[in-house]
Amino acid sequence: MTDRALPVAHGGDWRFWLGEHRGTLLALGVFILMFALYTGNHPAGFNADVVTTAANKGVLLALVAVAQTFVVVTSGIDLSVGAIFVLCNCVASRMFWETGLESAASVIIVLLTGLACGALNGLIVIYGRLQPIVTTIATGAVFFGIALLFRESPGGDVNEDLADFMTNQFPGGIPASAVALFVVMLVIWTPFRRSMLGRVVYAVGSAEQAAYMSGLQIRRAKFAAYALSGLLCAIGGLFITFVTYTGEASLDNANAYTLNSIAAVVLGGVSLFGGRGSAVGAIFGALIFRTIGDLLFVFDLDPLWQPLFLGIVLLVSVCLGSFRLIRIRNRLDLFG
Amino acid sequence: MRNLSWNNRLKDISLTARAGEIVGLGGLDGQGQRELLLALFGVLRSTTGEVLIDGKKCNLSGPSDAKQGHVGMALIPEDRKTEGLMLPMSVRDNLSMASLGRLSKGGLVDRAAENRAIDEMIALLQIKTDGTSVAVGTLSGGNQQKIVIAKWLMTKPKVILLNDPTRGIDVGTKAEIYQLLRKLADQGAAILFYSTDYDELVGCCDRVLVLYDGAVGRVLSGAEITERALVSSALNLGGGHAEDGTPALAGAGAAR
Repeated sequence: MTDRALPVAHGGDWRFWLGEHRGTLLALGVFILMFALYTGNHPAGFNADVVTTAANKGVLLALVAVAQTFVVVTSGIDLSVGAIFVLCNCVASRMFWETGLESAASVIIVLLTGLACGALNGLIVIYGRLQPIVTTIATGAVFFGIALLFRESPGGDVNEDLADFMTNQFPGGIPASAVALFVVMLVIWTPFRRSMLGRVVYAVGSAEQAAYMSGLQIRRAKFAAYALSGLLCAIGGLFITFVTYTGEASLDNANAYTLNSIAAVVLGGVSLFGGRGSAVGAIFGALIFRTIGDLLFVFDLDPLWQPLFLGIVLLVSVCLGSFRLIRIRNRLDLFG
Repeated sequence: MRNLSWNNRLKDISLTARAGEIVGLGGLDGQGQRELLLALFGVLRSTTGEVLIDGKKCNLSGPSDAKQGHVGMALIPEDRKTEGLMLPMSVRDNLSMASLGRLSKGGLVDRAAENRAIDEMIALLQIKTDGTSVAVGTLSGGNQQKIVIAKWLMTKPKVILLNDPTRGIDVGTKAEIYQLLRKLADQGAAILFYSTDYDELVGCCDRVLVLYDGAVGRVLSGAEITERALVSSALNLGGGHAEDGTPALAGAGAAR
């Protein structure tokens, strides 16, 4: 035991940084590759319109995937994200969008709806001590039921100026939806990750018992994670209203978004065991997922192949994540 | 602490630990020592009796209450792998976990203050790590235990509860921990130290409470703390009392 003070690197060197963000970087790399392939083979080539269309589709799933990330990081899973998303779409289509003031109020009401749904999930999981998966299956059904009450048949409208602005492009061809997603991340994810609350959420997902014994407010953290998840779903719900101009209580949509958000989260390197991964990775996971569908389109494959192909890509990517198991020399570690 | 009881496991235990004092908890494993520490820390439900800090009564409903400034308790838990650390998370995250409240301003973690506090702890405890971003799970057992202790020292505790902190770590680190405990006591902390290792109790403690079946069997202090006295009171044998006067005991007493 020597007395020398040890020099300790704070940022850690690049190897550790790389290790920590491997999932995110991998997802980014794969996405760039696939998107290049897509635009390279698109009949119109790489232009602003193609990118904007892709962004509008991608951002919807990306927002729901970020919502899913908040819950998955706590080592839970949220099967009601799709239903909240659809409910917010239906609520938005019932709002008044005539004047600027009305539109602003409508946006706030939609966001609050999502926040309330997420908060309800959180309260049930925390105080009811139910499994997140069971809780959110049940609440998801409830939320979808409410969505049906709001919109028995597709319809409604939205402030079209606002909708066009959000789904169009800024000067220079930058898609507004991508910018909006960036802003959402900057306003919600970045402060979350740097806050005490964010640290606690990751700690809860990593080892809940240790987090409790450290005197952390684990209830508050879980509640925040579920509520923020609801809020992100609501932003997604607003966006689909801007894209489609209408509201529709579609069960297909709800289920697809829920399951695809889980796939996106996994593709983005977020651990389903909790405590690891980033919403940035989940966004690229969502974009990858969307681009696969587009790739099938430009290569003129039958759209019927899409689910099969998506499934294979998902399986392969999950298998890639298991490659580390090959390097394990102690068989006991396989179970850990 | 006065008349602390919990179900049938803790029976009317009273003890006082003054600032600057290391009070040991002895006895066979599983006689309520672990429960006693958890009860003090506010983890157990429906305990009776009261806990007084600086003469003021405290109602603690959990670890988050216990670590508040005016209470200032810290518990180094028994099992560092499940209760002490988040193994996959970084050294940084683990170290600052208990003191996030102190290191944050307006809910945001102050990275500069965090780095300073972490540097201070790594130097104080001589933690050997490749950096603050490595996963705690990759460190050796001794260094992991140092991280657990360090993360609690970062909260500047006044009362430190230790639940068998030297289990499964190397001799060198054990010695460092003993020195550290003494240093902390000298700086004014009150320390309650449970150990299954009699030598540790003999070597470190000012007083030792030997627990038997959830109650204090005997209190040994100063020169009375010998291995023989600890063992015999742990087994609840009559022997080993000072008035016992057997030659062997007298010898052991003199040796101290």
